[in-house]
Amino acid sequence: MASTKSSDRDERFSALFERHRGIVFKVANTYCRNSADRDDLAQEIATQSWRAFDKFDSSRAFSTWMYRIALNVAISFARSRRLRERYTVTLDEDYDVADASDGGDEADDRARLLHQFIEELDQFDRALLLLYLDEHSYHDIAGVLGITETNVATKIGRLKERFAKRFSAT
Amino acid sequence: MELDDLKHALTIVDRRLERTHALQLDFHKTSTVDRVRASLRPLMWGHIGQVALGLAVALAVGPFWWLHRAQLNLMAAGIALHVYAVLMIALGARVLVLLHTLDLAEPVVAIQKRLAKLDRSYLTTSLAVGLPWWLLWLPLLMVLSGVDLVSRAPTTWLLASLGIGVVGIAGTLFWSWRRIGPDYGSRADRAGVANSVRNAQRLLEQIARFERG
Repeated sequence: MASTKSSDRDERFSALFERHRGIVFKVANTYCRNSADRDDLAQEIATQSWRAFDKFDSSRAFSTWMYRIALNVAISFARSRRLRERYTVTLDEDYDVADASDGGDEADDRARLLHQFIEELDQFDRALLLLYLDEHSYHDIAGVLGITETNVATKIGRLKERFAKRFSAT
Repeated sequence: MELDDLKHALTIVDRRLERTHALQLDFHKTSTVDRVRASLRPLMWGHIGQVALGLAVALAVGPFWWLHRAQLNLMAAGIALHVYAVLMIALGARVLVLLHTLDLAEPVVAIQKRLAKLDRSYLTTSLAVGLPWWLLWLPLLMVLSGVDLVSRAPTTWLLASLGIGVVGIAGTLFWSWRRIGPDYGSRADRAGVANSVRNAQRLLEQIARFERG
């Protein structure tokens, strides 16, 4: 009986996780620059999500729940890594893997700009930017981060200004 | 270029990386990279030790001061140690409860604030546990020896011991405050509690700015 319940739980979690797997990669990519750290972080997000699944309220959106876990794990991960490493990792060659179907040179340039901008942000602004670029509503962003919608709107406005000033010649 | 122009870039980067890193994620992996829990493990074991020591002291001195109810100084010495032991248990248990109820699915700002406060509390708890010993050594000697040192020792000696204890507490507090200041600290300190507290404090300030808007 217990093992049936457990495998039901695993199946439900696997189904939901696979549907929202992209969240893991988006967060890992935002907080890590080299592939070893990204894989490490992605694995930890998966493990922590699975462990926390018993507390998941199925009447709520799984994506919001998973984003919270992923970002909390990522920010803690980035903190512990920053305490060990006192240098900035430059643009990883993994990001230069191009494919004609991805939009070519313009897409490469925008991807580089994205990561350049991300590198300049602190852990919380990165989370905010990621959620915004992933097209979440201000309401959802506020729910994930635990700040007000007004605060979200203000911060996004500032990020837009900062980006425009920084990359105005691009 | 506008910030919104990067929305498509995010999708492209993620697609590329999913393609190049066909990562099999194992949910059941008892992770060597469980960094959230690993970073909290020293804090957890430290406080488990504190609760255990508090319980041991409370169990040892409880009967002592009860048996010496007729000897005021010995009873007071026992009670002082008993109160200290209860405080140790309470402080340690509080942190353990906070660690145990940590839910990573809570909003980001709330969780990061709690983690940073837990890190910072390491110094506060160390001080709360360590500082009283500038004065508690006397009650401990009395309890261990069963001798009323307060009545037998010369008054000047008692006053001098009390004075040294008070100066010791003040000095330790001042030294601790200097250690967590931004401009202080040797290379050895950077790897220690002081650095951990400074980083925690910086994170809390960052969170406060982020919350303000």
